Amino acid sequence: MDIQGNAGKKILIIEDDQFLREFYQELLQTEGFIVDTVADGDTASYRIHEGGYALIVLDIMLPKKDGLQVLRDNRANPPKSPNGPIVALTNLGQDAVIKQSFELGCAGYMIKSALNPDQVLTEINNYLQSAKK
Amino acid sequence: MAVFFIAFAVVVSNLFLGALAFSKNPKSATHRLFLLLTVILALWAVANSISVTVQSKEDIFFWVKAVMVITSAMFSTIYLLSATYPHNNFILPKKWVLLTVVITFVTQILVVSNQVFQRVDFANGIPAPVSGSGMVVFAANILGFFTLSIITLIKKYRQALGMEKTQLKYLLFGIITTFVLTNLTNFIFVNVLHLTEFVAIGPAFTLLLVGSISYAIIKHRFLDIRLVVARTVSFASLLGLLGILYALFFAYLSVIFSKASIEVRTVAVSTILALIMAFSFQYIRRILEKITDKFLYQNHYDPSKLLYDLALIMSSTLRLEDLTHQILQKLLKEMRITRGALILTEQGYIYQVASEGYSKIPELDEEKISSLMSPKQTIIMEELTETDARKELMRSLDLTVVEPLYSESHDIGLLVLGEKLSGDLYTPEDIRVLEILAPEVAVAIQNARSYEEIRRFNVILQGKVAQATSSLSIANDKLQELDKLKDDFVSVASHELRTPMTAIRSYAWMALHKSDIPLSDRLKKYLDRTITSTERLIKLVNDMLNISRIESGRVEILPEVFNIQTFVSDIFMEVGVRAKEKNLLLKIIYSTIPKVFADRDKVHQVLLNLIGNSIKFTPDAGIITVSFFSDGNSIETSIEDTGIGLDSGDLPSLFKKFSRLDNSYISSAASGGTGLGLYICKNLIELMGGKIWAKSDGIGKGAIFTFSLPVATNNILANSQNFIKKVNGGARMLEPVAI
Repeated sequence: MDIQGNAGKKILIIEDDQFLREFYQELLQTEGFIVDTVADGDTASYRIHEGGYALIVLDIMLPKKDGLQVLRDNRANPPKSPNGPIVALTNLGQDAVIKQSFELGCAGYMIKSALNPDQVLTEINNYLQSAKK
Repeated sequence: MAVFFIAFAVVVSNLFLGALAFSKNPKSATHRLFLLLTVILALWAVANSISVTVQSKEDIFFWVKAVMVITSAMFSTIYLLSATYPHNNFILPKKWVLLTVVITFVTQILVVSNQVFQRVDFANGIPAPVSGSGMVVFAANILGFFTLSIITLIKKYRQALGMEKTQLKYLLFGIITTFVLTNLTNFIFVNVLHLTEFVAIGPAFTLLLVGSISYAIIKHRFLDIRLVVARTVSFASLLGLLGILYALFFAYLSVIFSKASIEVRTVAVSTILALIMAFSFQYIRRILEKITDKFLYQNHYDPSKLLYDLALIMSSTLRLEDLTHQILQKLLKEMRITRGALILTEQGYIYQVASEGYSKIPELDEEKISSLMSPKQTIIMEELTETDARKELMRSLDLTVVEPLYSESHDIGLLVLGEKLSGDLYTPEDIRVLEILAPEVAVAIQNARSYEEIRRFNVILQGKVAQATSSLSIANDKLQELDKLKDDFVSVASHELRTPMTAIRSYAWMALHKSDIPLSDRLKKYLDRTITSTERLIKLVNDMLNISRIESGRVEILPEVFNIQTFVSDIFMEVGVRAKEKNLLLKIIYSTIPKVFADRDKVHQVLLNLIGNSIKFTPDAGIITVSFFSDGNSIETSIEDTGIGLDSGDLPSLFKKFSRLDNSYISSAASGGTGLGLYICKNLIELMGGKIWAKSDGIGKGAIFTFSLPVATNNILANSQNFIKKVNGGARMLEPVAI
């Protein structure tokens, strides 16, 4: 699966739903990625600030602090060590929110319900690949 | 001396009354005849006093004849007056009047030609006229006219009512007593008893007539001159008394200072002079008053002009309040009345009072109104008897005239007026003007009220409409808010639904594809169906979300000009993978068509839906063809497939929500359809000003779905605002269609 040679890269998954969070974690770990998971906006901000991730997958609807606010904080307070692209993970087909997340520095978005697990992997590899360039 | 005093008093009082009555209404026959009678009585008094004073036989005879000439006309005048009273025209036939005049004239000729009295003899030094054959005619004249007068007056007295009856009573009393007494002294005594000593006091008895007439005037408004008479009598009595006192004082002083006996004549002359002074003072004062009156307020108004002006006011004024005040102002100004009010009633209840000049609006209750309203005729305070309760009521409220206003069907109210500025009484002309005016005012007030009612009704109606509109708009706002809440709820609910559904699908997919144990075929089939059903559920949630957004009007339509043929070819690229899986041929038949004017995203949604359906329902190795047609106004895009087709019975319900196709071979479960896609398509196409429809030759014969969209003509682009649908806040994009 790891045709692009992305294995071993650190990926941060920010997702409040436990089953989905663990699903993404398992899916990516099987592919050889080092995966950190976070369930709320506050911790997400902290981890992003610490930095060092090749890719960050950020859910927009989060407890304590929503994804858009996490993006804003990231902008106002740059991470200690640089991060790779941030990809919005959402179930909302609202262009307003998607547009906002792009404006706040997202490299792209994934609609959870629209993607099969293999499609998710394809997307993630694509983002990692484009980040290399 | 006494003779002259009597004569003077008779002359003054008679002429005064006559002139006063005449001046009040110079055109009235009654007033004219009354003046004539007073002149005759005055002349008689003068001639009579001279006849008893002169000494020589010839002088006596001359003055006796003068007396007889005058008296010849006296009773014929009384008769004419009795017959005419109280009318303003001669009501006797002309023949009768002529006959009366002729009889009078004949009698007078007989007197002049010495047929009544032949000569005057002296019996014991007392003059005694000798009667002749003409005396019969003279007596007949007197008696005849007297009798006729009495009969006429009694007849009238019987028919008369109220005040007129009282007046006639006094008139009758005056005529009878005067006739009897003067006949005794001046006719019977002279001719039968040959006594002439009492002749001198004869005229004094006419004072009874004058007195009773005066009483009728003062007490009962006879010939409309009450107030002036009342004032004058009191004033004249006072001045007369002063004159006499002055004369006596003068005489007394003369006796003391000149030590000589004063002549009676001197006293008499000075007394007369004093009296003339006294009486002329009153007269001069009246003239001066009249001049100042004229100067201060226009003395007399023109009744027809006043009525015309009031008619103008009534025809040009619609508002009730303006109308009542303007009528009152005009009336009071022209008639020179101190104050007035219009009291308007509705079924006996006062609803409006307009007053002018009253410091305090007359307080009338419903009971008082009805007592003044009931006879439906003008009420003049002076004409009411003292016992009449209304008189006291009117006096207490400062009302002189009350004019009831009524229409055919009901009472309108009262026009009440106070006294005149001059203190004069209301003339018959005034009353006539008021009586002409009353029905006109009544009608005008009624019209104004109708207008007012319509006006008020309009205002109420406007208020009600505004109220209804505002509650409608409140209801509308509420509904919109509810719609928004519903949409918000559906949004949140669908998000919450999709998260666990995504988990189900993801884990099922993992189980199927990344299992760490080998799976049996049955288990693979179960997992495959789990995934398909979950995907269908996710689509259903998406479609419901889209419908909720469309139905709550939160979907924006932002049309642009584009080529739909290239647009379709782009979509073919998107669905290419799926079509390839089923080995389907996708075909576009290009034609020369103009560009469309539509919302690109929405057309995308519709095309994905329709082409997705075709892919779904067309068996492997089928063909899907998209073709175009334009009539210049719209472009029709048709998606034709070689799929399972549609039963004609299913066509009408095809575009409805959750339409279940009873005759469809493939169940919606197997096809993964939601039953909402076509409904969404129809809504979106209609939002863009187009139409959508389907055709099929039947089951197994394929189907054609066609939708139309407006062509981007200059005309449509000029009116592009009609095609744009903006949403105020919270516009939502549609969930993507999954193929």
